[in-house]
Amino acid sequence: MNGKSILIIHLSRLGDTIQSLPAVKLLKEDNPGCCITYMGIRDFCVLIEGIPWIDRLITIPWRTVREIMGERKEGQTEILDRFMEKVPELGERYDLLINLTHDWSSSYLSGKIDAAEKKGRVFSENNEIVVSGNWGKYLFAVARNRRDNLLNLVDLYMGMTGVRHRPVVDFLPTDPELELRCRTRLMEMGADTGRLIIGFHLGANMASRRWPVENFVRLGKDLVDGLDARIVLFGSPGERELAEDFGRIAAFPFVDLVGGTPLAELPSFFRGIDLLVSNDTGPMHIAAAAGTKVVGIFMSVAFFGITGPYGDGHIVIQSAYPCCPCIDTTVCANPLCGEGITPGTVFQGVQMALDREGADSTHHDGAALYRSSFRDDGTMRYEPIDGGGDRFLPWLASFTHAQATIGQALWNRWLDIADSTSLVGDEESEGQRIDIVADFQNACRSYTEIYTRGIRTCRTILAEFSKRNPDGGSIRKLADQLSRGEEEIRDLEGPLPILKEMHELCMSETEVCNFPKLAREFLKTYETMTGTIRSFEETLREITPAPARP
Amino acid sequence: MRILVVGAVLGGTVPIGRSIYRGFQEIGIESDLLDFSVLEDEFRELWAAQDEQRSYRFHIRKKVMLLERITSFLPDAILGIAQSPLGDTAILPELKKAGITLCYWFTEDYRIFEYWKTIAPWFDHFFTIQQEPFRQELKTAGCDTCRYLPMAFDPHAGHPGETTGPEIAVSFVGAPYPNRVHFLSRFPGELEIYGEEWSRYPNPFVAVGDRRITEDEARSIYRRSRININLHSSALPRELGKGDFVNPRTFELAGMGCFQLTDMRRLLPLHFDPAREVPALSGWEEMTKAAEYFLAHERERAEMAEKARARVFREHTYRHRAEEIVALLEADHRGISSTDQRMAGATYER
Repeated sequence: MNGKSILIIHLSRLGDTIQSLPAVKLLKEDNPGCCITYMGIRDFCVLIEGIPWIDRLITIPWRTVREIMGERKEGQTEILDRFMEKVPELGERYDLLINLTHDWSSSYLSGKIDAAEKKGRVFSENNEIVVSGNWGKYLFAVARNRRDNLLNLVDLYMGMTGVRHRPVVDFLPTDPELELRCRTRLMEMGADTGRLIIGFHLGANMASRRWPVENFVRLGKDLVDGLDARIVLFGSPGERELAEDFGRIAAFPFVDLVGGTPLAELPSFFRGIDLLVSNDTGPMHIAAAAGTKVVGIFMSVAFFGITGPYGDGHIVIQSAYPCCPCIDTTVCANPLCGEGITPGTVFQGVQMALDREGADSTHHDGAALYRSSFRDDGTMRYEPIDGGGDRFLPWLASFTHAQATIGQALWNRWLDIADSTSLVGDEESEGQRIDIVADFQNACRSYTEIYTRGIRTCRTILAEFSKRNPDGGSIRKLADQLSRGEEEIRDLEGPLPILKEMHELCMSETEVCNFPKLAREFLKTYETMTGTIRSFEETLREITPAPARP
Repeated sequence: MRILVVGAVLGGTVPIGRSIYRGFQEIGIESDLLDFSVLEDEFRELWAAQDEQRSYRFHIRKKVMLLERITSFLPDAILGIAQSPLGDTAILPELKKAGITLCYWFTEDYRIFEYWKTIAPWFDHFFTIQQEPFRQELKTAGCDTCRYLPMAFDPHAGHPGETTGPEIAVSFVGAPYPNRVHFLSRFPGELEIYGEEWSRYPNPFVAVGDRRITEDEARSIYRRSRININLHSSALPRELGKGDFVNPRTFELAGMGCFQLTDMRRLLPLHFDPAREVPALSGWEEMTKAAEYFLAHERERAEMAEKARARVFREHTYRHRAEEIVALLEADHRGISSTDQRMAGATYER
């Protein structure tokens, strides 16, 4: 790849932009002579201007992005064609194009851009959206099944860019002079050195994702009283109201920087604090990227599996409510899951992140705590911190995590992650693991049964067509059988929802054609999917606990 | 204010009419109940006979009964309950002209029962147990007066004082909808199924499957069960954890202080805490494993059932629903705009 040109399209939100940086850094590290062009949203790209592993930055104003991006609507192609004309870099030829954005418009742009190889969601030659590569497919398949995935978005981006997974640090460099200025400002505002400085980011883009301000105040008091900490509030100018609410309730001194820290300076400010407590937001990812310890609060639609802060030693507090993350796109105006995360639980999380002695790991009934670390294969994982007690919610959190862990082991092998089975920890109770493995085995059998039937039907159709006078009536019946099989797959439930999405993605790559070619296309997909299930079954056999000796 | 409640001829909505009528009485509203269930036997007979003329006469009789009661009781408002004969679009405009406020409580799944399309635009208040996208569809059908009014519990409906019969580990009471047939056939433990038409299915857990379970029988089963499985109905065999409305059984079991495990519903967290009052699960594996868990955790089960019961008595009896309807009608009377009323009801919005 040395000397090759690479274009990365990433017109996504702030957090996603930050989470893509480790992959970009590794891409440059692996291909030192390559030229990386990164297209992102201007408002967020102020953070990545001048970082050494991006050679060219194309920044698009948020207003334009809102205009051009999204799902298909009338006149969209004309708007995008005009946009391409205005951005000369999009008219160049690239060796590799990687589209990390999830929408129709970026797929259209990716289809139009001249590149020898394309990864991610792109328009095919037939103007169909296809997702190329296993990693790309996996990313899109987990979007609606987040509870079943434990791979962080950073690792998914690494997979999509094709780099070898390994831990990445210092992927958001800061200017030492600016850092000094920010530290000085913190000191001038009252965050004196020698004391523990803990930042609070009170905001989030949706009200339902915001942990209540009163809880932040109670946590602040506990941290001031218990750890002699100094609290610093961070946030955008639009979040001033939250800071004012905080100030009205808090009866302890704190530093209020809400609205006073331009985005470009935020990493430098975060380097000046010991830890940030934040809702699942872009600033949470900025803090992690700046190397600051993070305690992330995940509730409502937020789920730690994919968007937990990247790095070693962060703590996430995930609401254990059975409805969390929210089903569909509807969320409560006043989520109960936020109430389930108590200031006491977050206080424990802070102590754990700071490796303080005496961190009590019990009494977090409404929430589950996880700590991040790196696996031998270079991917990051969040491991549960036991301590919720023998109650329903901790039990449920443990069950769903065990289920996701086993599911992840299956997908890791499919994604070619070297050490997949190590995901299954010994701490899982054997009985629970046996039950969950059995559920997965049953699900595999259901899929295999449908695919075996489908393969047989496709072959019969092809055999019929090979006759001198094919029987139209029997071909129609066989085609109906195929349709029924597809319906059965759509109807399947159980612990493999990602597989169902994967099936849809593979079927979307099927060329639009008639029989008998269509039977060949279906046959190819069914055989591929059967191969996937076989690899799942093999992994399940490996992780099935050996029967106890008499 | 005088309110006439018009009930259904037969089916699961009949008790709703009786219960909301009791709710109005309880809060001192002058109300009356036109209980069409007195015609149930006749209706069943006609249904079996398939005699067109008799059927027509039967329909006329229902209309006459309705008009007679209206002219004798002289209500300010009429509340029709789902499946009630308050859907004659020739009569409805006349009632409106007479200054009667027309309300309808559509306590059904709009995707399965579609008669709302015809009747909804005629009502001043159309109450539903679902929100979006039903609200949008109602708007398209010409009804912009809909309002979310969830089901409730009637503490005065007959309950057996004592629990008779042996204890049941896990039970299910209800009709064999496709999702119930599918999931309950895969229940790994001890289970008892009660309900009409289950005998058609080869499920070894069916205890009573050839007749309808009476309300008293159902309550006895609820009380005797350590765990009541409350699986909402769905026409989709594999659907679990993605539905929206909360069924009457959720409120009934909770109100009776009986422990239940239910499938997650989008609207459930508005009424019950799905972790501490009415545990709700999003997958069948979770549901069956949760049943095992709760069988072994009696104290937690009892705590949750008690919390759910307390919640019902705080917020979810028919008295509470009656109060809400009356507040709305009084606001009408005072001339508060429908927009303000909708704003007032926004606590129920997502």
